[in-house]
Amino acid sequence: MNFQNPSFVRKVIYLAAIAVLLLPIAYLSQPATVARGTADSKGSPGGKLAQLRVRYNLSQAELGEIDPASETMKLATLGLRGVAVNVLWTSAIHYQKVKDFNNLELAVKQIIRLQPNFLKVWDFQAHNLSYNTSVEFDNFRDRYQWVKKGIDFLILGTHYNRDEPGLLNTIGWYCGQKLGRSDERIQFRRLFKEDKEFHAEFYKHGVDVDQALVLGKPDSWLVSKLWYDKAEEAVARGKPLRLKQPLLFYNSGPMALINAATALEKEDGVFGQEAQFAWRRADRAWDRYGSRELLASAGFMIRLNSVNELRQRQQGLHDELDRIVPGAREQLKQEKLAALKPEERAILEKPASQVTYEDTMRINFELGPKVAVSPDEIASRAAREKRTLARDMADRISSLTEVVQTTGSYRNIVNYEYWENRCEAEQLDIALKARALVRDADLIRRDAGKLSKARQMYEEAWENWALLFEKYPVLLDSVQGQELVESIAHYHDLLRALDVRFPADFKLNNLLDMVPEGRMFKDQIRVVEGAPAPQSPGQGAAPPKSESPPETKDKTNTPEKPAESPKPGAEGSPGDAAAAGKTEP
Amino acid sequence: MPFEHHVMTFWYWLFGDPLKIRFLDATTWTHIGFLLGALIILFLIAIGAPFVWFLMAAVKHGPSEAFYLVARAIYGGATDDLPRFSLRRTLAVARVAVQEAIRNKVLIGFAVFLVLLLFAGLFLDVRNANPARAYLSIVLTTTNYLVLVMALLLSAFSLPNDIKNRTIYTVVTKPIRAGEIVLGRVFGFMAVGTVMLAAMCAISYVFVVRGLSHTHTIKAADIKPASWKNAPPGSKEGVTSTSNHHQHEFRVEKDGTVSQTDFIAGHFHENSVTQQGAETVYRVGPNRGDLIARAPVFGNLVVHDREGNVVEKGINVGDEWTYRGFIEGGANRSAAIWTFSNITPERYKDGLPLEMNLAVFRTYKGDIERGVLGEITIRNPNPEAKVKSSGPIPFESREFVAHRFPIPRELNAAPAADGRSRKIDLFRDLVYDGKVEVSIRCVERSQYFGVAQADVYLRPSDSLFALNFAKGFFSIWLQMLLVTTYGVMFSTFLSGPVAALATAGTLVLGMFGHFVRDVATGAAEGGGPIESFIRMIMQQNVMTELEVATWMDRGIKICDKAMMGVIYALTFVLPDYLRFDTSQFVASGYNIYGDLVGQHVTAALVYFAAAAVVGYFFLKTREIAG
Repeated sequence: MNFQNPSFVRKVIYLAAIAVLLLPIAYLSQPATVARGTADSKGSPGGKLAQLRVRYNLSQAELGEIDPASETMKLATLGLRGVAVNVLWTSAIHYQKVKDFNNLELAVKQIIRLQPNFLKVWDFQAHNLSYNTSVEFDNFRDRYQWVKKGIDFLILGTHYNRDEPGLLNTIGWYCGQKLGRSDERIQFRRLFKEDKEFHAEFYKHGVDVDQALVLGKPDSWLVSKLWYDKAEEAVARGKPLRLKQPLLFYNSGPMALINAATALEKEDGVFGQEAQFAWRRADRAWDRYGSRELLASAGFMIRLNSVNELRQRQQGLHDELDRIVPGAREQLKQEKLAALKPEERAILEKPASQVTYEDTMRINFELGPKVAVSPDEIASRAAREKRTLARDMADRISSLTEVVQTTGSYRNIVNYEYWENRCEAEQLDIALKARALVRDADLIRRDAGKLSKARQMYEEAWENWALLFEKYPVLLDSVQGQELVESIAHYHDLLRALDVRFPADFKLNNLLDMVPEGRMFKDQIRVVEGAPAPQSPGQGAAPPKSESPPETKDKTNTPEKPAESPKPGAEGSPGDAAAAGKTEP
Repeated sequence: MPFEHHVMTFWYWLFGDPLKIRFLDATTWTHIGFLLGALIILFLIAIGAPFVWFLMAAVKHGPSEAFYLVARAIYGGATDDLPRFSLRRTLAVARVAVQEAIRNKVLIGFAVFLVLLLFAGLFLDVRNANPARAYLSIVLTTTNYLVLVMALLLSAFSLPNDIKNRTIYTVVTKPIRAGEIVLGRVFGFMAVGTVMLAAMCAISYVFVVRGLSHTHTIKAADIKPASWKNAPPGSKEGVTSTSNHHQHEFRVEKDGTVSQTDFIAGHFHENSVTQQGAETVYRVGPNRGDLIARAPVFGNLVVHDREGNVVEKGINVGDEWTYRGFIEGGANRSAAIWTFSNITPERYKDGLPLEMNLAVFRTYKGDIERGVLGEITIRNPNPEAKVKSSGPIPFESREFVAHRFPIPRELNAAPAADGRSRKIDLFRDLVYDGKVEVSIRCVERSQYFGVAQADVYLRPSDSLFALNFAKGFFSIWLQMLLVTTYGVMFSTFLSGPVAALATAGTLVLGMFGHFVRDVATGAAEGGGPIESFIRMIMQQNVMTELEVATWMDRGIKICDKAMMGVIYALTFVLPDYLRFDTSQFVASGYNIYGDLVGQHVTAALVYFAAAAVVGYFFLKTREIAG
């Protein structure tokens, strides 16, 4: 051997360095082996990487199906997967920009072969196909096809990422929200009901649409519930909940049932027992949701339906603290009140009827905190021998307060109280009757010869609605209320066709005052009929608004006839004219 | 989108519109034709290259010797080598190049192609809405890249290897000229490449046709009473069996005849029905309409705004892609008017075979169960004509499809003042001097139609798909010619790996020229090469200022600007390979029209000639140096 030759020496050094470097690589990436032969013999757990893969379920077989095309592509890029992915993403963006959607779809499918386990990619591109691309098409059938492509894409994602709760939940979301909430929802839901090919594909992936039938055909909301259930089952089996908040993840299923019940009445016109059953089912699901323990972002578990119980416990602890430090709360409050400026104190002492908006703001954000007495302050006034006990109690109150506040804020996020009441209320006979009457009246309100009947139905419906709102005032300020204003407007048109003024003591004046659409409607009545707007029961004594000068009021009272002629179609019906004559007050 | 650029005739492309060019107004330079542009660039190279050559030689040999060297080379080239150029000797060199290519296992490239095709099924998205497009795109793109890489490797290493192994001396000692060596190499490699490309073309054609070929069956049980609106009594509808991941629907008329199927997955099938005894047998024909080559006849587009003024383009409705402009609907004068030429009864005996591909933009939902309504008016271009236009022909928009809308010869005239309408003849009353105008309006208020020049065309007949497919491969051949020529040119003065790198550089610059120009002009965010590199390493967002010291930032920007300036200039000298790419025409079912082929051939020949001349001088210099 010629060690004098520098080239030879260099080669030997290189070889030695390579051999040395191979050792740690072998240690890190040695594959795991399974046992062969006797039962006693054990396989090797493999190198560090293999062990980590097993520990975190990261091996490809654990994650999902092994796709030869995907694996080939990953290998064929020779370590330049990142570059290839970037090029493909750039192409996809370009194709989308130039509206070359076929190529966009092809590019997206190439991307996911290179990034099959990157969940955000599935999420992003499915949204791209179902939402961004579908709206580029003018024909609703094309739009539906692209929504389907997004859903198909997510289903494909569940092949590569088996039982991934986030993807399963998103499939449910697209089936429910995208098909049921788009501008084209009527058309989408109609197409979905008839789409046997799609149903068969769902069946192939463990979702039997026959379990989600309404009037004999699969309902997209109920099908979405099946996907949500699959997602929840995956979590129950121990799959981690990634990219989703538990609060919203578990909310999807019950909301799907609520939406299905709403659609049953609103779109399919089904009332009575079937609707009642649908609402009862939704009600139970909502209750289960309320009873479920959810991990809050603060790190503790909450239950949405426990807020009253928590508040009682909180009150009990406050009472306990007051017993330990008697009189301290009141004393502290008086001290704080005394420390306020006189004008500040005057605001707090104002009768409720005189409190202005500005006062409310100041009370909530400035004066309230100033006079509030904290448990720690009370504890600090405790006698020496009881101070430890009092401080312990104050800490318990603080902790519980945090839970109460978090639970309250989470309840607000999902509008818990409203949906709880809504599910309960919608099962009542008066609600079902009110809805059926409004829908039927809406349908016949333009039929010649049926105007009086429509009016009668509307008025019966308003009475039922009024009863319902009295029992469940929380329903007043809602989308449902806004939708009802549309029907009230139809009722108003009907009255005009019958040459009858809109009643000043309208049963649902409270609703009209509560929702913006209602207030606008009242303004319209004021303009069209030239009469003062109908007033809520409590509004009778209210002084006239400063912006309505008396002379205007006089003017608007003068005309006897409506400002505009009744709508065509209703006008030329002699039978109804007679009926109008009879019913005119 | 095959027609993303303005559709130009060959002569317009070559000569441009010199009358519209203003020397000091850069915005008018777009009217410069290829010929003038090429002449300017070649002139600058012809002046600049010898000067650079002189400077480089002057460093080594001194100015007088350098001047003599350059002058002798140019003079010798013009007076000696050019007149005595021998095609026989060139072909002899070419023959050697062919043998060398075969010896260098060039057929491995072909084997790779076959392997890729064998496994293409794994990567093909057969569920795509247009599988023909996917098939065609994949074979054309794969062949394109493979052939270009092969041409690069073949051309860049051959001459340097000969020089390194000194086998070149067996050639140069013969009475053979540098130009013949350069051209001989190019011809030889191109001969090998041509044979391979022809084989790839044939195999690809079979692969595509066989891959898409399918049929369906119809069972009597799948035929049910018609459910469509206003269906005549007794008519039926049915659905075919599933094949290639799709099904078709069809109608059975009340007289028992069967319609062709609907258009799904980019094709349809012709159906037939026969009676075999008591049994009715339905047959579905082969797939049709997917492998086509529409040969559109384009017109010139003029857009009118709502006041009726001619505007360069329609309204931008917020699309990032400005290919289409939009015309406003409703009672206004907004319209898009296409003027078609050479309209004769002999060519269009049944009327105008109009096809449209309009975009739709709605500002409100409207009736989503149907398209947006529009109207077509056929107008006489002669303002003095007695009959100015036909009456409006209503239509309903269909987006993202080639919407066939034949205009018959006999039309209703525009309603007269007394409200009466009469019949007119398209050719007699509306065609003037072989020209006719097609005006399109959107009828619905506040809804819009998107229009571009290539969106409305006449489709008298289609070209042969096989021929169009071959034209697609011819485009690849032209790119191969350019890569080979550049490879040989670089190999005349660079070592093999460096020549390969330089050729790859021209390829990359040629393919990403637009991006490079965007970076150079600042249109693309992120800065030049140094700045981009720093941003990548430091993980800095391209939208923020570079987080380095001010002096360093200034230095980086100056260096970047200098580098990008050079690269920017190079993008104009090097061929734009994307312009040669016609795969989208073939894949989208459009004929690669003759004017385009003419443009490509002319451009390729100019680049080929320029590169060959440069290669000749470099090799000649090398001889002199040797």
